[in-house]
Amino acid sequence: MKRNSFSEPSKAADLADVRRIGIPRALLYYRYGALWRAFFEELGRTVIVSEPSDRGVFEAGDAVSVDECCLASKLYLGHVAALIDRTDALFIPSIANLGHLRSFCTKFQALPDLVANSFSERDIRIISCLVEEQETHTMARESYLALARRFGATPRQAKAAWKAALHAQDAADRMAQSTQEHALARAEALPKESRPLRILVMAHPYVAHDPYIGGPVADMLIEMGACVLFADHADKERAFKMSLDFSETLPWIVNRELVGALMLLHDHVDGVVIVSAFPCGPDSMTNDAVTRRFRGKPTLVLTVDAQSGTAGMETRIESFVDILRYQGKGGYLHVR
Amino acid sequence: MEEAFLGIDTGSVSTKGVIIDTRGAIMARSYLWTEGNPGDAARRVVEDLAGQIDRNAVSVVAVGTTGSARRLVGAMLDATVVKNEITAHAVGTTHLHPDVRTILEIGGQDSKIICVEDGVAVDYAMNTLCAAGTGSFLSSQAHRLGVEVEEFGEIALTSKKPANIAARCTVFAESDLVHKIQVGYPREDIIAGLCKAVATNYLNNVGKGKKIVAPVVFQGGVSKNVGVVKSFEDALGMEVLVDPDGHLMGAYGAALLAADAPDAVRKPFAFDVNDFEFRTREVVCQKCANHCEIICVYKDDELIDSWGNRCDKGAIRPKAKA
Repeated sequence: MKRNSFSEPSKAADLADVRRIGIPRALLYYRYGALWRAFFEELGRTVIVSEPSDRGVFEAGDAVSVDECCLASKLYLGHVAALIDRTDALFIPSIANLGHLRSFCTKFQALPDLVANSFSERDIRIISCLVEEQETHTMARESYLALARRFGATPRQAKAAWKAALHAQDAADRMAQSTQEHALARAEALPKESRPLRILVMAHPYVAHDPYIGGPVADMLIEMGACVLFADHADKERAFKMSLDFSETLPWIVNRELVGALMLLHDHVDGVVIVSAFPCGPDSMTNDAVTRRFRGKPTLVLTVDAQSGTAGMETRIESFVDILRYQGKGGYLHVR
Repeated sequence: MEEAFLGIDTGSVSTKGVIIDTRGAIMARSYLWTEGNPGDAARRVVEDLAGQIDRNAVSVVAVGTTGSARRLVGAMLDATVVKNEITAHAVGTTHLHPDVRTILEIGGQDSKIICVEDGVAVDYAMNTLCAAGTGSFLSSQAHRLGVEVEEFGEIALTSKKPANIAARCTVFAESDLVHKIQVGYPREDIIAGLCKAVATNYLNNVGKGKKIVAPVVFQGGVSKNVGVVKSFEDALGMEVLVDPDGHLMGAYGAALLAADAPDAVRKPFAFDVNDFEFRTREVVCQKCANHCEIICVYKDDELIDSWGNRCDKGAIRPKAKA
């Protein structure tokens, strides 16, 4: 069993020599990408993000992964493989939760170990930090500040880096949110006959926006003329609060935000497309509850695995869009 | 000249075709095995249909295609409409049964359920991941039992006590079946058990979470099996309608959609599909690591369509007609 750098006794500025930091473009990158980049750049480091996913990345990840891992975590390992020779070290945080009812999938906590052991022959230098606010009260802020110190930053520089990081992420989130709100407002301003179908894509950000997993779903919908909204581009804090009405016990923060977004946008969309990477524990539970609770809004559940070509997906999405369109028209055939 | 419309549904196991008149009445029907060659199957269906109409009096003015090979066959026949099988089935079935609320469909390799309200589909589901409980499964079990799958239904109806067979997974079903044969269950009980398992498996998987409301129409190849029909009726506690043309509903829907297309996009069909050679070629795009498999369809030596590329870099376009 290899140890992560965060579990070793912290040595002062043991990461001072690291210049180029690799960040895999997968999993929580799609939630914290802006934060991580700004943080390390503020510390004077060069950030190298791996290229967007494609089949080559997946195959590299699949080759080193255990079978039970989900499609998204296999991809993550592929992104790691693409960065090893191009960087001094990889940033792979261990993010467990942000408090009660704000847990991430266990995989995100295990990620540094998963990577270290999957690439045990490669001797990767892993930079990590732990965020576990619920039980050990290891808060994100303190964790990142301590990490900055290991890069040789003064307490003041560390605080500046954290501030810049929060600011960058907040700006990115606001941008995504307002772009989406404008797109929706534009669609809704159109007269009913020429209004595009408004379809909510409900998926983990690393599924919805990854070009190898969920990207083709949004692309197909857009090509069919739909106005695509992403559940992860809604106001996260508002969505989280909404989700408390859906379930008092659901432990996963991202699933909560997605369900909450569905509740916020429910009356503004014509249909919902739920996309999951196979196999996903949190989704298998949440999606089932969602389809039971929100009957009445046409919903399509798509599970993407490594085998699925785009043909099966295309048939399903086409059929779904047809259902929404013909329902709007009130029948299939013109009266000739 | 009377106007008519042709619809073809090319599935993985069978290919179905119809020609309809302007009122939607079926003038010609064809049903044959795809035999792993959808292009050839479509050609044979067209030939079969052509023989059933008077070509001097009837002119096909638009073609619609559906089924998993809809795009290929659509390119070959220069179709006006290329439609997914869910919509095609819904269109065809709601036309014949305007009050239908639930469409159950079990084909050779897949099965689906379509929920209908006010004559329009509002929800659907397709089976995922496995073909347990579809027509191919029944055929292979019939083979094991040494009976023709066409006789399955009648034999099942003679059973007084259907055997319990796990049909959740083909592998388990087979071992369960072998066991029941070896311990001496009567053949009709085993066959009735299989039919029951197909219905149960369908309702638990494809039909999961769907509200099944009467009138229910059952179609696809397996609907010809009266044993499965009875199992559905028993499980649902309601009448299950099977139309004599039920297996043709996809093709019928495609033909209706072709008939509904505006005059401007109609493309008269000359039944000359035999005069050309159609080839498909797979090109593996090397422009990125996705290595998309792009299907190219050639009519004689001219590229007429291609698909399968995830992005525009892999687009292979037919030459613009001069």
